[in-house]
Amino acid sequence: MKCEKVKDRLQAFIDKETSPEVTEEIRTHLLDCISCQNELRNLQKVDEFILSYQEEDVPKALTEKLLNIPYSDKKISHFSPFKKLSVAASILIAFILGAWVSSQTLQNRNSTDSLLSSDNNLYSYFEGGY
Amino acid sequence: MKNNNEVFFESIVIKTQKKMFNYILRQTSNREDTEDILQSVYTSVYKRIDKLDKERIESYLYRSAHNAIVNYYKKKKNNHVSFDDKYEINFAQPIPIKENNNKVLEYLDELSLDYKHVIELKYFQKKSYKEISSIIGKSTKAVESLLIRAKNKLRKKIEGNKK
Repeated sequence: MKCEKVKDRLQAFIDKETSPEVTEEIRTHLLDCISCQNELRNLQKVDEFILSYQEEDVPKALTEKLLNIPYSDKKISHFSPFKKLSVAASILIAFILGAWVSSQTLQNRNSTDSLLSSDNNLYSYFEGGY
Repeated sequence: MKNNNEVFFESIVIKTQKKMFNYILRQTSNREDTEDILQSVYTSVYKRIDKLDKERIESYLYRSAHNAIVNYYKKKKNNHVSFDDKYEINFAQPIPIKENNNKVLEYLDELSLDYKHVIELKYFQKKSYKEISSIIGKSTKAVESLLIRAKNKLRKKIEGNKK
């Protein structure tokens, strides 16, 4: 195999992409050809350079942004089921509390009324005054 | 409480973010743009998460990233992107990872996208010529030729800098 043809296939040879026959031809040629040996070494150096790249870690802030993607599109008006339950519970508590306060107020008024009815001065005082 | 899609998405991000980040960085040589592209890729995954085949999510990620990179270059006036980090190498000390990476990224940045893509597929994705030819839609002979030309360009750059 001539140098020109060998040099053309050296990359494939390094990458183990040549057929067994071509691989053997190139190996044989390389034994005696300094020029092609140098060419092989130069190509291997470029490989080493490319492969000297080491994978970098993803910056933490970027990871957080990525993990936040499902939540960044959600609109404020959308409530999660838990939030809905909390709101419903709050309303119920407020309602119960309000009902209780109302019933207390009503009881107080009834007791005041009875008090007033027994004490005409007080009763008349309110009717007459405020 | 997270739903199933959110849990699954989180697991995809944790599993694939590093390789996707580096895949994009090696072809853009720009960390800021890499972050933007990465976010757009994962956003696109999340939007389609109900429709995607969960077994093939990684393929989708790579395809999506590649399309995003192609669009990125189309938006630029030419294929040469200004390298974002300057470095100075102090040969008296071991070169830290990032400095050496910066050097590799700078040299890769000199190549056109086609050359970068085959370099990426061959050296970092460890694809065979046949697999590369299937991915880029060219013959194995064309793949071999692209690799030779890409490496010759890199070699000139490396040898030029040594003088």
